[in-house]
Amino acid sequence: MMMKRKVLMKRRYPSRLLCFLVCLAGANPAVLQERWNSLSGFVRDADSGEPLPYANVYLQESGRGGLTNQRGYFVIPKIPNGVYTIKISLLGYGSWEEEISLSGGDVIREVRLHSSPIEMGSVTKTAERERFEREVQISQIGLSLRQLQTAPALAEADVFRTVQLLPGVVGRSDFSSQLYVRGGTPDQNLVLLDGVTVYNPFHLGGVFSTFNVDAIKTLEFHSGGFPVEYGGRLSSVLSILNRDGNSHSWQGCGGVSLLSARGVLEGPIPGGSVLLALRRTYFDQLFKGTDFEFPYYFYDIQGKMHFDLSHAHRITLSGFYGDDVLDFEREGDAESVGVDLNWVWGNRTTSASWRWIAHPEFFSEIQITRSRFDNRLQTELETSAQAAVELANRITDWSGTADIHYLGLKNHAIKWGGSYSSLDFSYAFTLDQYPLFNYREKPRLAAGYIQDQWALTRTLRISPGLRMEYFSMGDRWQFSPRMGLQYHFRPDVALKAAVGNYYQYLATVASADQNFSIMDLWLPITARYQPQSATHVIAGIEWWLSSDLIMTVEGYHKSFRHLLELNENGEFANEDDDFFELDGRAYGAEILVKKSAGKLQGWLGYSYSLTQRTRDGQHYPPKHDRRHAFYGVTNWAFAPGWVLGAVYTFGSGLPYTPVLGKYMHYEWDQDQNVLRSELYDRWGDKNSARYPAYHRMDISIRRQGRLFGLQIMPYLQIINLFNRENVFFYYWDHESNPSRLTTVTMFPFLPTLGVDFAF
Amino acid sequence: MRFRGFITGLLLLLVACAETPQVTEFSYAPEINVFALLLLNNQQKIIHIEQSYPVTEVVPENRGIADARVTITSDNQAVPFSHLVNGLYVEAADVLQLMAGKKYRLQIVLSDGRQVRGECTIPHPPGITTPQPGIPVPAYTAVEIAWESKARAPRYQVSVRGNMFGFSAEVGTDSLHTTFYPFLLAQPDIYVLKVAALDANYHDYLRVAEDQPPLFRLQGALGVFGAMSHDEVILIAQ
Repeated sequence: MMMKRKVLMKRRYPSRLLCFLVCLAGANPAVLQERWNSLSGFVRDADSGEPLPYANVYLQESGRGGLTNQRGYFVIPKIPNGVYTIKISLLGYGSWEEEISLSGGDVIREVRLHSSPIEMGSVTKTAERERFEREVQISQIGLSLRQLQTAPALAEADVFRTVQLLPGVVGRSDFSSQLYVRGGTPDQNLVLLDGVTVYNPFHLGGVFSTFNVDAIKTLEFHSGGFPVEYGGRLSSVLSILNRDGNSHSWQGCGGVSLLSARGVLEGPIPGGSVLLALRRTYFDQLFKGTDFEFPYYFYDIQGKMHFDLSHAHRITLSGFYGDDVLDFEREGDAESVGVDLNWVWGNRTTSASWRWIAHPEFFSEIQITRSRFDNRLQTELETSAQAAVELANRITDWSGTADIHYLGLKNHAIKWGGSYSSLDFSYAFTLDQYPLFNYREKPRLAAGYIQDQWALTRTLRISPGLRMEYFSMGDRWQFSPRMGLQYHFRPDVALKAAVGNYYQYLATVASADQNFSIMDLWLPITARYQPQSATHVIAGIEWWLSSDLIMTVEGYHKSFRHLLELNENGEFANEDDDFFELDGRAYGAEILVKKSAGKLQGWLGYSYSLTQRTRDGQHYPPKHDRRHAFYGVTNWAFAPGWVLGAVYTFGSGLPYTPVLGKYMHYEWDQDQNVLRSELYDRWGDKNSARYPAYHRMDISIRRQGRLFGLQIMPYLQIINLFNRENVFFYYWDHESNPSRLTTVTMFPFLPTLGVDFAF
Repeated sequence: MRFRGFITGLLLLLVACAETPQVTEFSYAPEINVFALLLLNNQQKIIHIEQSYPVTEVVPENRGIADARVTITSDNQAVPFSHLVNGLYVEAADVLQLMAGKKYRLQIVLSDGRQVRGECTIPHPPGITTPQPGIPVPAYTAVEIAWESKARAPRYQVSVRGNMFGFSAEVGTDSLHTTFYPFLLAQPDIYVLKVAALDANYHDYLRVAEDQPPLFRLQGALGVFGAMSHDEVILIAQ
């Protein structure tokens, strides 16, 4: 579809000096004083008003162009007077074209693209391809809503489960959606929802992630070498942006799966739009009053609204509220004491952001956020009204961030900004209101960064950056220089490289050997320990085999220093032995072939990796050291309205510490004055054995149709189609003699079904 | 055509997935397992010598090692212990005097020449200061327990046992404190409250989580050569 419009809008911005005051420093004022034209604006979806990131904007007669950023904004600076044809295109949308006359001044366009079927032989490029041609980016991948929704998953689509299928990412078991990225641990991943850090992004003890896929607009995952705007973590960044909401008409979607019922409603409000997403499990309600009462449920609510005060100003408010609730009551009898247990844990994030385009060439965003994780466990024993135990843990993170892009130079895209976080960690354990344990720390973290995307030649781009961080505990100042490089030795092929330093000031209290974790308990790293740090060195090739088919090959080396690992043998009151300080390294190679448009989409991935930890001079592989992994993820729209999805995963065996022998462990019972004995495991060297290889095949089929005016999409999914008995862990039962080995396996053959709808 | 390819791919994967998980067998040479504990209050010496076993083997009822030469030395006194039954060793005559603050050395020599060595120091017994004996405490409330000692032990162990309802609990405290969390006294009863001091070896032996690498302080064997001393009071909860 081709549209032609002739609309001209000119606007002079007020004080340019003001821009400089706001933008702190950095650009040459002379640039703004010259009498050039600039063309800027937003590109949006014509149906929903959602901004379209990474659309190609091209000014035909000048041969210049650019990309929209993640907010759908573009600017082409310093255009001489004249008449030009502006062309805007993005795969999946009809292209847009307009003739404009520039004669001094800044011209603003608000462009709306209509979605359109993808035509064979189309010259329009995907957003990924556009970025490939114009940005330095390495170890970065975006996943579309279709890829998230059609990848078969337990009960319903899950962001983390899909990310686990990318090369370089290891999922340790079917029961956990935690991400181990290039030798890193889950606490080394920065998880952002609309720019807000989420500390425990899981439901049901990690089986599901907290994000409702229906509300997601874009997902970007950096598995390494991430740019200086991100910090505070060593391994990866997962940034999720929720949709703004439809600013033209009211619409909704939802679904019912075996896990939950969920719905999203969005629509216009004066000056903007609003989106509300709800999800709740329903088994507790379904079996209420029966013998099969289910004492657990979770819910989450996500909301977002924005107001466009003018073209230059947008205010966005967003929030996420989610809880897991375990409410369990058992009456006592002659043999056991009655218990009333109430356990609630969950995240609350809120943010307010102000997007200000002070000048077409300055794009700034200022955000104030609060992220809170609350965990409260209350137990009351029936024997006494006063016999109550309460465990409470809270993390509060108040942050302010400012990010400024300067886009006024032809060969540079400069970005700088800063952030300040006030953190509050508290843990309390009380018995009958008697405080047994009380811990509270309130550290502060500040950071500033500057980065340039610099096109040195038509084929060579570099991205130097520097990040500076201050952490109040121990008065730590750290500098993280980072550099990216992209060299196009053919238009379709680029050589890429990145190197950088990363620091982390928070750690989780988790045993490296545990197989299951309900939640992460975060702690700030005290002055007693050095901040955890890592250096990434990455090199690779990206090759576009066709307009929608990409192959990347990357190799990496990552060195870790001062990693903290919980010392489970540590003494309670001795703070010196709470953690082990480890060093480590990880290296490997990854291949990804990804098709991101057309009826058949998906990817094939392979990764080879070696991860090692070093403690007291001894080297050993951590639990997530998976040598080989292969992933095949595909969705195929094989007939109108039908989509078949399949995921195959192979992973070579993960390490575990084997039980070699057994010995009688004796203890003197001073109460009874007797010697008690129990058989204990005699362990071999740490993680010196490997579980059998992991295989799993999942499939799904979805059908789209209409019923009573609703668009409905029933689906059937089968997890572990071949019923492969993947080993979760081994357990030796010494109650029998000889001891008996029990193998605990992961998900069996598991069909689930559900239905999604939209109106 | 594509559909046929898809089905063929599935069948190939089915073959790949058919493998049944197997645990690898590991070789393990049995080790000497010693439990030796000196109890100051009743001058008791417990010495148990046996062996460990490969995890797949049957553990016999009679697993003691009977032919070891066992000696405990203190100052210039070397006291031999002889085998009684099933790996349990006792003094021939009750001559070894256990004293708080004193160091003791254990030596075991097996008939095949293997040797085990260890040493420990008996901790000074704690003196319970709170609650005071004979003074009733209210039932269903938290009671703080405090004690003092001539020298701080690496670890204290607090136990409480009720007479009438059989309530019993035993909890270790940390290595620094000489007070303890309140006990939850469930109902009115007469309780025996004990506070025991543990030496460093026994402390390490006990504090290791079951699935963690053990902290054995013996040369040539698994297990422990440690010591304990204790104080106790009668606690009346009304």
